[in-house]
Amino acid sequence: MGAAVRVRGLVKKFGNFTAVNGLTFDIEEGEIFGLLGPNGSGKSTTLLIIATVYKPTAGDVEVYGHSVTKRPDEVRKLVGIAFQDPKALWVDNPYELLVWHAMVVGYGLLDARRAVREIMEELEIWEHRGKLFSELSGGTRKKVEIAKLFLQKPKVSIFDEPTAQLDVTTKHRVWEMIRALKDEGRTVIVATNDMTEAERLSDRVGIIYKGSLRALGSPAELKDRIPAGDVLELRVDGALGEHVISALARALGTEKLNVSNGTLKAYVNRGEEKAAIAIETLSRLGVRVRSISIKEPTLDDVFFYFTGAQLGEGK
Amino acid sequence: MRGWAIAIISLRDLERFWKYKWWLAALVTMNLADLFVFALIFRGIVRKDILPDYFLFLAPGIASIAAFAAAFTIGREVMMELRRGFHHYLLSLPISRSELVVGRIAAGMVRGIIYQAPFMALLLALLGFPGIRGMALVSLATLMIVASMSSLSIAASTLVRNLELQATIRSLLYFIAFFLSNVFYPESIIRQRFPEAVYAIIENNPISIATTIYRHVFLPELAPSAEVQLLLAKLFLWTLLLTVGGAQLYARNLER
Amino acid sequence: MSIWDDLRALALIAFWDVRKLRRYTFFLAMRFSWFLLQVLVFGLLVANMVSVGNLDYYKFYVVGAFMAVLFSMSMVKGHDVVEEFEDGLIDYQLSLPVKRRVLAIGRAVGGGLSAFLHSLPMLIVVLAVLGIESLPAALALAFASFVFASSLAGVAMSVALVLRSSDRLDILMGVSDSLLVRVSTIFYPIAAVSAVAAYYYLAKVNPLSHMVDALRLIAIPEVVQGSTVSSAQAMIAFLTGFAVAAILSSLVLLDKKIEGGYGR
Repeated sequence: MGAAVRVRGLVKKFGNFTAVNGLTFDIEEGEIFGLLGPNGSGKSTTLLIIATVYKPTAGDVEVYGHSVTKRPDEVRKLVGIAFQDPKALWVDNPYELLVWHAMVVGYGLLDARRAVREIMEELEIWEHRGKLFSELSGGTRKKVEIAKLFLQKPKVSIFDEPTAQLDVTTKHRVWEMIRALKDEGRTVIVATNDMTEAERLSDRVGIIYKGSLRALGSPAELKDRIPAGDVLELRVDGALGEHVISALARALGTEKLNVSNGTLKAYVNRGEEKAAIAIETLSRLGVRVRSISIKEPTLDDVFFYFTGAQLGEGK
Repeated sequence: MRGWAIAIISLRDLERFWKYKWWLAALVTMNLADLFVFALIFRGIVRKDILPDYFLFLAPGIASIAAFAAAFTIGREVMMELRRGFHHYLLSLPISRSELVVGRIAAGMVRGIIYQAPFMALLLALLGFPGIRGMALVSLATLMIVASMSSLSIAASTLVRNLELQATIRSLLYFIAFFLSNVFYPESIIRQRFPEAVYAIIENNPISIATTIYRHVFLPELAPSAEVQLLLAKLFLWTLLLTVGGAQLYARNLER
Repeated sequence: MSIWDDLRALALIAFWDVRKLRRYTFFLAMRFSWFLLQVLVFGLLVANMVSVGNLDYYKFYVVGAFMAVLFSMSMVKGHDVVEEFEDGLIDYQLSLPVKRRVLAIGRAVGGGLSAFLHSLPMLIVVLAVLGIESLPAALALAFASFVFASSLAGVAMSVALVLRSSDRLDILMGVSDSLLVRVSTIFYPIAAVSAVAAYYYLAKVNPLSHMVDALRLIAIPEVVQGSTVSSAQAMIAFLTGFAVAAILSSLVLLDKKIEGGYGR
């Protein structure tokens, strides 16, 4: 299968701020593509350009061969987006809003009503159908937003943080529904900063940070790409000073160290050997080690490896 | 009551007044357009036997409308706070309820006075300095009109819980005060067209009273028989009623 | 996509604005009361003060007051658009599988229709006050009002899309409400405006003058015969030109310039 979406040298500037800085990648037809990055990394901007809501400053995106700059009307027939923040007027009620959306995307009135009822029941929001949008909880609003896309079922479905604000049970149901879209042969793009979501859903993941693409591949490929294949995790008593961290980095022969909440992670090869060196170095520096473990890298580790940042980091 | 507490509340409202600079610019344009477009063109078609110069007739009225409109803006502020739940923060401050209420009303007054100042300067430029007594009368009338209208708009903004209804009540009060006043038409025409009861309403509207005082001071020939003391007494009664009533309503409704 | 698909999409987009009518219940009540005060107090009193040849100024004023309402209701559509920007709804609309020009025309027609529906109670008052009993005249007045409201709403929405700021829009709308309405023949016949040369020429090229006088020609032809801003034919030509220019500039604007992202 060929590429459903081709992103080429994409740049988007807002005044002096560069939100997206030269992105180039393809999204294959029929895959679930995860766009992973912290808030403000340029994920949403990229998705909004693919959906023709924003215009690129430079570069282009092609959806099934149609350029977003030259033939946006054609692109919109193929792409649908569920926004990160639900879009509705505070006086809207979910049922009317979804019926209107269903009709705009091609349903007849009766079909629209039937389909809206089905999707609202599936997402367990049918009981809220007549309420004002302003009266709904954050989770219910989010369900209404993603319901639009499950109604529309375009060739390319874009979900911007689809399960943010959803409870665990609903989250799993939404993942199943997204997978069902893929099973029907549709292409799905999911922007997320939830590692579990990216790992569970995506065939391939693009890691985006500060507007640039830092890594691209399947979750397994990306984990394999970390040259130092082990993650050494140490818990120590007290805070770790700068001199301790740099001494440890020297002793372990790695620059990839991450300290968070009293836990130090070092990305190394030959984990067992390096564990002994770490304990010895820390003891010499008077730091008491409470526990030490050697782990397989997670997607979280992949993200840190390629960006030098934690996923929770904002703008 | 502590002066500094009142001042802090008022200053906050005053600072916010300048934040709506675009809105203010639009309001100034509207008031100026009423005078320099509407009144100027109307001067040509108003019968001279009724009003020899409609432009001059309208000028004092625009000054009182300006003070009224700016003082009235404080109600919008109060409404926005209620909408966003900010009033809970105000209520949690170590400031007494009476200080809070007086501070808000005072802020509305200062807004009215500041906004009216250029229009008053325009009146002085157009019609000349009316003497110390005249200026004292004008200042007194301005103080009372801004106090009463500031209180009225604050009270209207807390009267009902439905925020859309609040905005409607405030707008309605504004237009009633605006149209059912003598700003745009002389006494003779009102009497000729409407029954005595309607005339009484228009005549006793605080905006009309302030306008008549301004006209008496700046254009004595337009309001030669105005009983200034009676007008001041009426305006004082309005001010007392609206300020005390408005303050009590605001304080009570805030804590509902 | 066939022309029928486009027309269907256009109707649905237009319905977007119309379905928001219920949110304006109180606003409409207020605007209606304001209009009644204008017509039954201000208009009556001012008509007693003025003398413009044989013109029945009260009837002249009532149509003008209605035009002012139609104008401000259409301008409200600009505020709606800015509000939609703030709520991210413009992003949503831009993502729908609808051609940009269909979106632009649909919003203008929907805005015009909703502004017209908002003004309908006032139109009924106008018909009653002017004593218009002829159904064709009433329908012609309603249709012309709808067309004018659509043109004005289209312009207001386009301006709002460009400005994207409620602050900037507020001043523009405030200033245009103050100046466009006053420097026109909404409240006074063109002969009266000629007293100030600058205002006269501005009123002559002000589309509101042409719109209000066209409404007067439909509603009270015997009253305004000979006192309109220009001849009926010239007014029709001017208004057609204005509508075409407004539609074309809106389409170009939406096609070439508009993108989502409030505050960006």
